[in-house]
Amino acid sequence: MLVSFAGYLKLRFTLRSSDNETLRHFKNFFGWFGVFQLFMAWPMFVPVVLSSVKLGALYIVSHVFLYV
Amino acid sequence: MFWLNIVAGGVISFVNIVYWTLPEIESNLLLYNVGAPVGPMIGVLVGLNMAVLAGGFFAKMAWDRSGEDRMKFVLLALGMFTMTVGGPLHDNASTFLMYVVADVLISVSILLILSGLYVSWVYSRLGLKE
Repeated sequence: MLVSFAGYLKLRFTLRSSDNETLRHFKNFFGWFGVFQLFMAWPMFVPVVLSSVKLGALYIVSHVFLYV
Repeated sequence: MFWLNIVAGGVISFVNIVYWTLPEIESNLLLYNVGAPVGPMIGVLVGLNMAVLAGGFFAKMAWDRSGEDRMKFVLLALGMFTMTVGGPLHDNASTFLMYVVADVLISVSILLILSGLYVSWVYSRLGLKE
């Protein structure tokens, strides 16, 4: 997750000086991939044990960001 | 490609809801118990995107270049391929050992991608800079 967001930020700063379509796609990829991983890792960040229904829903919703 | 992913992702999400299975926690390990058709479907979609397109893109870049740049793109391509295997393996894992193997593969892929990103720094440290 941190690597993904670091890649997103690095490419975002790179794109400020020179616009490049391929790099822009990779920037978006790293950003959405980071959001996907943030959602998947969410159960580790919250101090309570989530119910099975919430965990199952979290799995489906987080994967939507992966497809994006 | 964007719309292919959105449509395929929508289909997978629908199948995921239809084949709804509840995750469970076993000895501090979260087992998602993903529905039988969902894991392979995600594997195919991720394989198409990350192995074929992203990995292939980096492999092509490596093929066209030489020296430090080639090493950079070889490492990035290998990282993408390894992540394609390790990522969907989590969706198909049902035992502790399978999760361990998947996590090891993901860790290796992150190391490969980081090595690719910082290959220039490593080359300059080793005195291999052209």
